[in-house]
Amino acid sequence: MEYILEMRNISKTFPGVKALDNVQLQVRPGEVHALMGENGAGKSTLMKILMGIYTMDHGGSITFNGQPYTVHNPKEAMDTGVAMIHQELNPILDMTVYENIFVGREIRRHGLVDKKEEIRQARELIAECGLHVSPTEILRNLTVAQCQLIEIIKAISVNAKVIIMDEPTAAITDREVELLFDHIRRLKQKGVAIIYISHRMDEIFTICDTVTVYRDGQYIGCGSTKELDEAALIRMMVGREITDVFPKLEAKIGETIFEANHITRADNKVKDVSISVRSGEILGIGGLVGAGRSELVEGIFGMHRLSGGEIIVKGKKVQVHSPGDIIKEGVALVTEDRKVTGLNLSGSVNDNIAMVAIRKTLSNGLYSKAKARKVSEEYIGKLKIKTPSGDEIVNNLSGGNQQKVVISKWLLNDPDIIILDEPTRGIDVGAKRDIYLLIGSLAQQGKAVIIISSEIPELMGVCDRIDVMAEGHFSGELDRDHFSQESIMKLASDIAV
Amino acid sequence: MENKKNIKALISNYFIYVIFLVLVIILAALKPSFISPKNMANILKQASINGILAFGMMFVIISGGFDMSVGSTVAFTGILAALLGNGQYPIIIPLCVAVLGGLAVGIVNGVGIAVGDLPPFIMTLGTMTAVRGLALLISNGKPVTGISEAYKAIAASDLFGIPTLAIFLLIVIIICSFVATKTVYGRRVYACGGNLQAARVAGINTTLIRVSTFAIAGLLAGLCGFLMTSRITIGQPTAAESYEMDAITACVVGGVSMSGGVGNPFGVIIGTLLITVIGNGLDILGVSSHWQKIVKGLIIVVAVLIDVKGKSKKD
Amino acid sequence: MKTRKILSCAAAGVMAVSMLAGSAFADAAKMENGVLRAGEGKGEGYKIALLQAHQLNAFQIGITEAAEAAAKELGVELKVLSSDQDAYTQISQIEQCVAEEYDAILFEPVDPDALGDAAKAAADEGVIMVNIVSACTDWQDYGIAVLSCGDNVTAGETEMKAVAEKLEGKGNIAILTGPSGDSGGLQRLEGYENILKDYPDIVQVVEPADCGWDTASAQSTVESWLSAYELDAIVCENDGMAVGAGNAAGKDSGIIITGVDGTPDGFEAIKDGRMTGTVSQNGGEMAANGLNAAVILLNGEELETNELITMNTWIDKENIADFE
Repeated sequence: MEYILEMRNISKTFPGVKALDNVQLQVRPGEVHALMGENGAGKSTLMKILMGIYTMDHGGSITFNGQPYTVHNPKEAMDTGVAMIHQELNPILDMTVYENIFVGREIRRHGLVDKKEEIRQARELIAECGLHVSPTEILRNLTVAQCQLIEIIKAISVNAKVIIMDEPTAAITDREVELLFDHIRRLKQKGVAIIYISHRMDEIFTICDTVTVYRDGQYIGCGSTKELDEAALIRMMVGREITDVFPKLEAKIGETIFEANHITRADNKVKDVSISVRSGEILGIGGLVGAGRSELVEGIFGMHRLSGGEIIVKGKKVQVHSPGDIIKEGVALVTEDRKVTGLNLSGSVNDNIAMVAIRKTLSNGLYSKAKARKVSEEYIGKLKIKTPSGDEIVNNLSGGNQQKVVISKWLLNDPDIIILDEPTRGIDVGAKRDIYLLIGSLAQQGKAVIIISSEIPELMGVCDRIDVMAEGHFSGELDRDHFSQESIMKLASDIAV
Repeated sequence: MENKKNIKALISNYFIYVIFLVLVIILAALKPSFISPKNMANILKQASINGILAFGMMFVIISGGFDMSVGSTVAFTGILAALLGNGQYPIIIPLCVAVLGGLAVGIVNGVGIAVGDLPPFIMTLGTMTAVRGLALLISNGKPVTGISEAYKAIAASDLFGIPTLAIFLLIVIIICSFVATKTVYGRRVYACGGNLQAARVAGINTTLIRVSTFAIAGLLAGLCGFLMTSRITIGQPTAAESYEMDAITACVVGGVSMSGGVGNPFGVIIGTLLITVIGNGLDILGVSSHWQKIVKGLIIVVAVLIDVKGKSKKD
Repeated sequence: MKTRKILSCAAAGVMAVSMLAGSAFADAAKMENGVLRAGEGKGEGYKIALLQAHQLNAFQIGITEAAEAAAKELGVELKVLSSDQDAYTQISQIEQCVAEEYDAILFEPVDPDALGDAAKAAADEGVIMVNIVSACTDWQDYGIAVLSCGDNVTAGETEMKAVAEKLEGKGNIAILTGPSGDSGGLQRLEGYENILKDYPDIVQVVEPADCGWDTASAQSTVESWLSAYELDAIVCENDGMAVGAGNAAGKDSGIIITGVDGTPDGFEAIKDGRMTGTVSQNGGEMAANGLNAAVILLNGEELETNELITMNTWIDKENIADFE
C-alpha cells in the first residue's frame, strides 16, 4: 500500500458553482503534504468532504488505509482515523485544558467521566508538546497561542493516521511554530500523515515533503518540495508570474509627522514605548504575539486609558480620550480583527466604506446612498475589490477583499498617518500583493504608514524601518540595511527572566 | 500582581456565599424566630418549587439556552395532576401524567430551538403563552377543586421534621448535581454552552444535548406542577406566574452565566436559598412586599456585576 | 361614594333611543332582592356583547356562565370577549362592537379611568352601554346607561365586620392584598379601614402584604408570618389568597381566615375548616342584571334606577349549603 489516503475524481457542485472539478489527492504515510492554492481554490471544500461535513458529487472515490472510506460527520472521520485542526480556533474558553482535550470522547469509568485519568493523560500530552500549562487551568486564562497548541494536542491525541492542519500557525509565534514543527516531525516518525494548509511559503519549504496545488476548483499538479521553488509554486497557484512577493515601491521620505512618546497603558500592557514615523516612510512593528504591539496602537488610538505619554501629530500635541479625537487629526487604524472591529459584516460594501468619513456622503445633511455608491465605486476600482457590486453584503466577500474594504473606509477619510494591524492575516498571495502595492503607493503619496505583522519576511519586505517590542516594552530598532530574520527574532525574544 | 488577581477571583467566586451568610446573621439577630426549626422547615418548603425549577433551568442555561415557559408548564401540569388527583386513580397516575406533560412541553421547546433553529427566547416565549392558554382551556379558567386527601398530604407531610417537599428538592439536587458534574452527558452540556461550534466539531450530537436540556427543564416543571397542586390544594390555571424569572434569578445569582458554559450546582442551591430567605426574612420582619422586590433586584444586579468584573480581569 | 348615591337620569342617548322606539310608557322595572328580570324571550333579535376584563379566575368564569344563561333565557344573541386586562384591547373591542352594530355592550372596565371616552363614543352611536362589576370614574358623565355592580367597599366592610365580631373586638390581625394599585383591592381595603376605626383593640401586627391574588404566594407569606407572630385573624382580599392562608394555618387552626368572592375553592376550604368564611360578590348576578337592564331599555321601557347594586352576602359554614 503506497498511499494511506487516496481521493480520486472528486467533484462538488453547490447551487450555481462548481467548487471542485474532478480533483485528486494522494497522501503517503509519514509525509507532510501541503495543499496550496489561493482562497477559493477548493482546498477547504476538499477537506470538508474528507471530514464528512460535505458530501461529494457522484463518481468520486476515497480510499483510506486500503479500505473504501465513507463518513457522514466529523465524529465518524475521527473514529476512522482522520482528524482536523480548524482554521478558526475552537476552544471552549470556560472549560479546563483537560476537558477541552477530551471533549466529545471523554474517558469513562463505570459509565462516568474519569477525571483523574483524563488529567493524567492530558499532563503527558502537554509535556510531550513542550508546553508549560496545568491541565486543570481554564482556557480563558491562556494566551491565544497556547489555546492553538491545545487544539493541536486535541487532534494529535485521537491517534489519527491522517491529521489535517488548516493554517495551524496563523495565530502563534515563531518560537511556538518551532515547537509545533518538532511535534510534526515526531508524528512523521510514527507514520502519521499530515495534510498541511498554509499561506506561508517559508513553512511549506521547511516542513512539507510534497505539495499539491489547486486553482479555481481544478487540480493543477503535485510534486516534491525539493524539486520546486517558491516562484514555481506561486506560478502554479495564481497561473501567472509573480516575480516579486514583496514589491517595494520607492517613496520620498520627508519630515516626522507622527510621534508617540513614552506611551504607558493604565493596564501596564505597554510600558514606556516611543515610536515616530516620517511622511513617505513605512514603519514596521515586530514582536511575538502578546508583545503589546496591538495594545500599543490601540492605546494611541484612544481605545484604552493611558497612564503616561504624549502624542504629537504634525507637530501638534493631541489629547486623545477616544478614537474620535485622533481620527480628527488624520490618523487611521485598520484593526487586527476585521470581523470584530473593522466591518459591519451584514452591511453592504457601500455602507462600510462610508462608515468613517460619513460626512463626505451627506446630501443636505442626510446620508445619501447615491453619493456613498459613487465614492465607494471609486475605491472598488482603485483597490481592485472583487465584488459583484457596491450593494453586495460584505460577509459574502473573501478575506482579502474584506480587508480592502476596511482600508478603503479609512482612505476615504484622507488620513496622513495610517496604522495597519496584521493587514494580510488569512488572505491569499494575490490579494497580499495588492495590499503591499497599495501600502507602497500610500507612502509615495507622502503618507506615513505603520504596519504590525507577525510575519517577519513581510515586515522585512515592505518596511523602511522596524521597531521591535517584547513583553510590552521597546526592545530595539533596525534599519532596512540591517534587516535579518535572526536580529529581529533576537530582539523579539528579549524577555526579562 | 498574582496575589491581587487571586483575591479578586476569590471575591467574585464566593461573593454570593458571603451575602447569604451576612443576610442570615442579620435576620437571626433582628428576629430570633427566623432560625427556629419551624421557620427553617418553612424556608425549605418555600424553596422547593423554585429550587427544582432552578435546577432544570441550570441545564438549559449552561447549554446556552433560556426557558421562559417553565412557569406556564407548572400551571398546566398542575391542572393535569389536579384533574386526575380526585382520588379516582392511585397517586402515581397524576404524578406520571404531570411529569410526562412537562416533558412533552420541554421536548417541543428543544426541538423548536435545536432543530428549528429558533432563538430560545422566542420559542419559549411562544410556549409560555400557549401552554398558559392550554392550562386555562382544560380547567375552563377555574381552579380545579376536589383534590384527594392523600394527594394533599404529600406537600403537607414531613419526614423526621423535614418537609416532604424539601425531600423532593433534595433528591432533585443530588441527581442533577451528579449528572452535571460526574457524567459524560453533563460534561457535554457544558461543552455545548461553552462553544457550540467546537462541540459539534468534536463529534458531540449537539442537537440531542440541547433538546435534552429543555426536556429536563420541562420534566422538572412537570414535577413542580404536581407538587404545586398538592401544596395549594387546588389546580390553579393562573398559578406559578413568572416563576421562570425566579428560577433564572436563582441560577444567575448562583453564578450560572447567561452566555452558557459556566455554572455549578452548589451555586444554584445558594441562589435558590438566597431568594427564598429574602422573601421569608422580610415577611417575618413585616417589611412591605414592595421592599422585597427592590432588595431582590439589587442582589441580582450586584451578583452579576461582580461575576462580570471578576471575569474581565482574567482576560 | 356620595356622587354615586345621587341618582341621575338615564343618559340622553338612551332616552332618545327609547323615544324613537315609540313604545308606550310602561311601569318602570324594579329590582327585587338585588335581582332584575326583563322576562323570558323579551330579548329576541337583539345582539349584545359582553367584554370581560379577563377570564382568568373563577369569579370571571362565573360572570361568563351567568351571562350566557341569562342571554339564553332572554333570547339575546350574546358574544363574550376577554380584554386580557389590557385597556387598549378593551377600547378596540368596544369600537369593533359598535362597527358590528351591536345593540348593547356590557363591559367590565379594565381600568376605571381609561374607558370613559370609548364608552361615550359608543353611546353617541346609540349603543346602550352597561358598565358591570366595577364602576368607571364619574360613569354618569360618559353616556353609560346602567351601572350593575357589587360594592367593593361594602364587601370589605362586610368581611371585616364579620371578623371583628368573631374576635369580639380584640386581637391581632394581618391583611393580604391583591396587586398593589388594583382598584378593587383598594376599595376593599377602604372597607376594612372603615370598620377598623371602630375597633381600636384590633391591631394589624404587620404591614398588609401584596400577594397578587395568588394562592401559592399567600401560602408562603402566611407560613413565614406564623413562625414569627401570634395572629388571631388573617383578612384576605380574595378567596384564592384566603385558601393559601388556610393551607398555611391548617384545618381548624383557631385563626379566623376570611376572603371575598365565594369561589368553589373558597367554598371547599370553608367546608373543611381551613377558611372561616367569605363575602359573596356574586359577579354572575351583576352580569345577569346588566343584561336584563339592557333588554328593558332596548324594549323602550324604563328602569326605576340605573345603578343596580348586587347584594353582598356573608357566607360561612352555617349557610354555605344555600350557595353551592
